[in-house]
Amino acid sequence: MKKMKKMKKMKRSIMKRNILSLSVLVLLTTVFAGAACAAGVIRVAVIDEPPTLDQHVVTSDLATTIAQHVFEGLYAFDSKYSPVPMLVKDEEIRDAGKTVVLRLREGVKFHDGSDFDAEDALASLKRWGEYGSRGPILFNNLEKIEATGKLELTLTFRAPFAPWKNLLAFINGGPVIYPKEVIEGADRTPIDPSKYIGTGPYRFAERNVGRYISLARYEGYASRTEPADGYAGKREAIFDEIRFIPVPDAGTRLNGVKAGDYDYAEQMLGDLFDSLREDDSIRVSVNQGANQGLAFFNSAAGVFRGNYKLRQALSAALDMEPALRAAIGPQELWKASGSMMPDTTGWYSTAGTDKYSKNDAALAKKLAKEAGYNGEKIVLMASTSYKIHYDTTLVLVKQLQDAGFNVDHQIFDWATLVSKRADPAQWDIFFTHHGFVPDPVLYSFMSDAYPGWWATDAKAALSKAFVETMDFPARKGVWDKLQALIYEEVPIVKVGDYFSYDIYSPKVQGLSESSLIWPKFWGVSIR
Amino acid sequence: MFAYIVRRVLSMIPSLLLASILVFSFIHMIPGDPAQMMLGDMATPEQTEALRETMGLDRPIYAQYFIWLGGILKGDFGTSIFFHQSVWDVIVDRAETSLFLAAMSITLIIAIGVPVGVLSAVRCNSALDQSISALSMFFASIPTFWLGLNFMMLFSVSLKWFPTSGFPSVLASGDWTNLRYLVLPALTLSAPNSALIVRLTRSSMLDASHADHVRTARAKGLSEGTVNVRHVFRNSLISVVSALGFTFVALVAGTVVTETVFSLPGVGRLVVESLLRRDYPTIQGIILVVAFLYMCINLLVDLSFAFLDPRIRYS
Amino acid sequence: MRFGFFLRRKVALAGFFFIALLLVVAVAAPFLARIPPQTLNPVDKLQPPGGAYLFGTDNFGRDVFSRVVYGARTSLTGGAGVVLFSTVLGVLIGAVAGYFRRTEAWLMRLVDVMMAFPPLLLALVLVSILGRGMVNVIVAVGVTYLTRTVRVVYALTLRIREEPYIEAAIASGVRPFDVVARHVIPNMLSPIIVQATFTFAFSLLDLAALDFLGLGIPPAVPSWGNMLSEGRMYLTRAPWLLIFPGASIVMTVLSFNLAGDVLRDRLDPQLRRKVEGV
Repeated sequence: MKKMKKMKKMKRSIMKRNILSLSVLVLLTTVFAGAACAAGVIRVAVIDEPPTLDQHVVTSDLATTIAQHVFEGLYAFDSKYSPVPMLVKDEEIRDAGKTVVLRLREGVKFHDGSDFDAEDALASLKRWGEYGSRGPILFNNLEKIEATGKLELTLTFRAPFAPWKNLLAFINGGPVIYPKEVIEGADRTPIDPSKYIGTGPYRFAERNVGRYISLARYEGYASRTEPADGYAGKREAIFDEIRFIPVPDAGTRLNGVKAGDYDYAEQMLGDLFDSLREDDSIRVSVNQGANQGLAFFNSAAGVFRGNYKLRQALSAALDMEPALRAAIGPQELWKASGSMMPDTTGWYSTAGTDKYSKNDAALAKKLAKEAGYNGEKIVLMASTSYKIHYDTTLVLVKQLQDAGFNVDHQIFDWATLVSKRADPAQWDIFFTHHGFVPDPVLYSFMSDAYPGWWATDAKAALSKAFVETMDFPARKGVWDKLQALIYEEVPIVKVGDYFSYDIYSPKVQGLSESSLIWPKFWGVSIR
Repeated sequence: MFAYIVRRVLSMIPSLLLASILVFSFIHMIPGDPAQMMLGDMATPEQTEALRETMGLDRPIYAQYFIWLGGILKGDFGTSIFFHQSVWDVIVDRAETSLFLAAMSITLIIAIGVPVGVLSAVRCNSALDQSISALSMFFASIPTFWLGLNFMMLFSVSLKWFPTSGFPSVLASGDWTNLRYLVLPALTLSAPNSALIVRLTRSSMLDASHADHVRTARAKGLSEGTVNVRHVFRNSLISVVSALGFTFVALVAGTVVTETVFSLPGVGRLVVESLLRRDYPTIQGIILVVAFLYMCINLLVDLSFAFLDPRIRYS
Repeated sequence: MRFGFFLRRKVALAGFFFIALLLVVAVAAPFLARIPPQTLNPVDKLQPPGGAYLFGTDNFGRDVFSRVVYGARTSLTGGAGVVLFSTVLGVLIGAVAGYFRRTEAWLMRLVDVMMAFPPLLLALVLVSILGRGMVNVIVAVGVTYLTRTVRVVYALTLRIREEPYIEAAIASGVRPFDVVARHVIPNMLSPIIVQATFTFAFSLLDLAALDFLGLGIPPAVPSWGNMLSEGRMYLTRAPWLLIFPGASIVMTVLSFNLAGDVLRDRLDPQLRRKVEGV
């Protein structure tokens, strides 16, 4: 209550001073408005405020965009999405893949000045394995993990586990390395910002709630010496400071870059792509990590439970191009592709894709009849919190209704949808998108527990073979079968690949026409 | 008078209690789960449940209410689920923007609304009065976000006079030129509100000019200017002041739309964001604080009546 | 004086005329709009006004003219819903609180507390509870106006119940309910109508604000607020997405404000302060 009084007093004085300063202000503003910000700072307008930067427990892309400057993993992806060593020096694989020995780099220092060693890596991995979002995928296959030397870590798997390196390299919801002291006592609750200590080229400087998150260059950074390639290799911190500013409204982000208030802005509207690309005052950068729109069928309850034919019927009625054109916009930003993995990766596959985007109403009706569909209501949930979700489903629902399906398009905000989808009794289909993942094992639908609850014997058998097969061509062969199974059992329907794009001021140097997954600001400068 | 004030302050206690119950039950009726929001898409039901337990969300609803209420009585508004810091600190952080913006807007509103309204009343039914009426009616009819977007396009993007968005702290940096960030939002907010004040000032001036004591004053042969200032204007101030009081509260919390357009770190936007994030403690805290502020202003407005109108006496 | 009076009448007339026009448009929407407002035509997206599309098309290739026309329906329904909800309930609660003194303390305390919550925030919370939907949004916005109506009606009831004819009615043994229904409420119809007109005008702005924040009428329903909200990203690329629905809102709100002004002067010059003072 004392604070309340203080605030009131403050308010009163603010009022008084404000009246005085207002008239002066209007004059001053014309002078100051043009003043540029201090050199060595890049101002990045991001879509929101991340709940935390603790990569172990959240999978928010925004959090990763910021956190990747502060924290590093044992591996990182190069520009071809292959995992290459980051904090690891080299690795040794024994027992046909059951044992992996990781030798760590020497001379790496945390932002608090302490040395990085195997104990830190061990503690971080263990917490991620126990409480992390993606950690259990790895740890469920792990027999033991131990520090076998000051800079040596040994992972022993129950059976050969192929995706281990991809999992260690994918730092979104992934195993970034904290000092052991930070991890001690940490559970599923996100780590406090005061303990954001990593090994990255930037250290966490300040979080001013609602205003910005500021990162400062870490002078003691031990960079790798290989040339920069994707997220791998050398990381050169040129800016003194990177400032991430939450600007939720896309129009405001655009205006802010045009007016010189921001140097970089995330996620612009697809329909503006053509005009922005021709605009001399702006550069665009397309994000190559394809997102994909996914409709999940409820396998646990309702009309679709065990009824694969009915799912195929709905799928046959859909025509994806109009949906992508309406929701995303220009052709450069989407691909009507039925492959679960984009064609920029080695995982690209055409297995089963003859069933993708059929746009065949007759077939749909035939299949629906065979499936015993009699106009039962089908609840399709989508969220307006994501414009693309709503826009896509608007088109798809129309197509389904035209094909004779009694679809009830229900709209919620994201939080409501997430809580509703946890209850199988409340829905038949829900729509969401999935961000790019470098290994299919990371797809949400590969987990039996993810809403939709796709957990058939056929899936279990193929999944087992998928993680236990070590060499890539053979794994790819199993994946082809899995994708074919997806088109057979239809746990999900894929709409297509789409790419978000960001804009930046022409003054910014060192950014390319495209980014891989998250925009990064090492190796970048302002002219 | 003193007894009246004491009685009024005491009567705020049951009101605040009722407000806290309403706020708490409203917020907890919203579907959705803060734990799930925090963990994101990939969290398993077990992880979510475990976090719910840590956050105390698994306790019965009335228990949660009493824990919350008990905390407030001790001056602790709880911890924001999203920011992991004290709700009070989050509010105070955001209050700077909202209070500066409200103060700037109300200054503009008074500076524009009152003189124009007086002018309109003094020149009642002239062409000038009619033009003012039409214009103010027009400004009161524009959706604020539409106005704000246009201001931004014109003054920030084209003319580059003002920054487009955001508001770096003035108090932390001591840099008063940062107030330039609030000029466009304040203009946006003051346009419809000044229009309402113009109309209110005009109509209460006209009402007051028909009052008996004003007629007497005129009959006594006082000049029209003196009558207008001493009698008409002074009396019409009552309703104008009360309207300004409530406009101020509305401006502190009701500027959601403007804050969203200009991306300002204010209290209103915090409520909307917290709603979408299901950050219960933060929403509850803000709404309760704003309701308290409203009740205080209400009291102040009532008291100001006594100062402005000698006929009103509270006992 | 003469000129001003003349101008004022003309402007007010224009207001009534526009409202009448809007009603016609809303009723005749299916005849005016050749293309149904929901029809998606992605091939023809973002066409400028003129040619096949009088007001152009949006990012789904939907006809903006059809959507504006059907939007008139939505807006009028929304405004009327809010007015109906807040007026019917407001009069009921206000009259009961003002007439039956035993209920007064509780009801008015509740109303006072509700008024302490910022209207738009309260509406946002209510929509979050109820979900997006026409009726839900009407209720959410209606509640914020309800409290104001209750306040006005309550004050009027207090005044009317002191009138001699009410005392006479009570003395002659009329039941309390009938007193309220036959004598109290009919005697405050004019101020209620005036209040309702302004409620209509301002509720349209609130509905649009909710749409803008993504917590309003479901986006599939063509409404001016939704059109503005979806179109705001296209400010430079396709300004017609903002101009037509924006102008529609401004004109409609303006017309209702003008109409309210004239009604007030005609019906109840005394009310001025009460309605605008809130």
